[in-house]
Amino acid sequence: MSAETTPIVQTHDHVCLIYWGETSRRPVLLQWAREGLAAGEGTVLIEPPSNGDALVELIGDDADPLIVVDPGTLYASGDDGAVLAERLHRAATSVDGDKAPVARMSVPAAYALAVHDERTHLEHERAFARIVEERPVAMLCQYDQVSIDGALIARAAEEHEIVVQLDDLALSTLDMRPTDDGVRLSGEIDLANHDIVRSWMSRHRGRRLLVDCSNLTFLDVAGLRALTAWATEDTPLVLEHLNGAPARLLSALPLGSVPAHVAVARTTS
Amino acid sequence: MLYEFSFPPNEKTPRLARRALDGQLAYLGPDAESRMRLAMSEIVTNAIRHGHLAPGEPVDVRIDLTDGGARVEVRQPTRAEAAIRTPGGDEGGLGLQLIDELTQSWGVEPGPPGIVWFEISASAEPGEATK
Repeated sequence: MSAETTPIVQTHDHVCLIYWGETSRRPVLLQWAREGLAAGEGTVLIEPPSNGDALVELIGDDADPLIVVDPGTLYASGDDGAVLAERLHRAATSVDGDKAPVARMSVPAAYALAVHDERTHLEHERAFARIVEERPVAMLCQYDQVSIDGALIARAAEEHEIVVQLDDLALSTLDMRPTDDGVRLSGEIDLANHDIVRSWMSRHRGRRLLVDCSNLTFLDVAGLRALTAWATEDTPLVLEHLNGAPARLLSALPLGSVPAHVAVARTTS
Repeated sequence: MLYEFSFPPNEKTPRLARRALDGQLAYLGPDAESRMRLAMSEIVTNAIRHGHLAPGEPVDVRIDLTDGGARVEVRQPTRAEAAIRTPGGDEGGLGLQLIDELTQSWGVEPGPPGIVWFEISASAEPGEATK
């Protein structure tokens, strides 16, 4: 792995990867698998054989330790989320018996949704979130905006610690992740992700939040409302390091129309 | 320089419309560039959210860049009257105030086809120029 590559996941990360169509997912999935293999991690791809074979071929000689699990077999058993997560984890950690206990799992939601209803799927996501918290594993859960209902994707975002949204060229349009004292936002918040932002922010309800906006390059009015939807008098939201167009939006809003319990920390630099 | 784009009416369109201006606006100065992106994005967003567009009905964006500034027209096949009042789904008329604050001048031709247009001057503060 080259030094320039930013690791896609770290241990205990539970990532919701939202993407536009298979071609935008593949580069990320390849990097994700290569990182795991280079680090000697048990690496599991849940893909139908046709897709799995294509990915193995693209990875080349290093792909030997990669485990491809057919979603048909995995989901057909009707296990609940906890059993399913346990089974995945076992598969990921038992390669040859001598692998490091760290593992990473790639789970495209489309295959689960072909078998289960949405409620069951969200229960699975909650179980995955627990196993990622308890065990030294990372999960990359994938949602295709072309084929999966937007409302379900927004609800799924709430179950994940980290949300990354890609455009159809696999470039990141939004990246949301927790920090020690709040959250960090990178990218753009607009019509394409209001609902996802509102849902994900609800994870952080009930605490005072510092929102690092250093790398937030665009924010529209509805995006601001989504971001600040859960701010209350006791748990206010502080927007830090606003710059560029998002800063201009805040300064252009008429007096009194910035949502209540939201403060803007002025950047000194 | 005149640029014309025709976009399908979906949730990706506001970003595409902003992207259409990449690399073209630096000469306006950073403040005017931010205001351009914000105003255009809000107007396109509202054409999509409140314009009652059918899947085949495009949002057309026309951007005229001159030395002194930019004029943007967002055209939709349906009536535009309601859209500008409600950026962000706010029913309180925040949209009008926001567009007014961000631009030197603007207007709505209800149509159909509905047109919302605005002008931004290079490196001038809004509200001072051509009102």
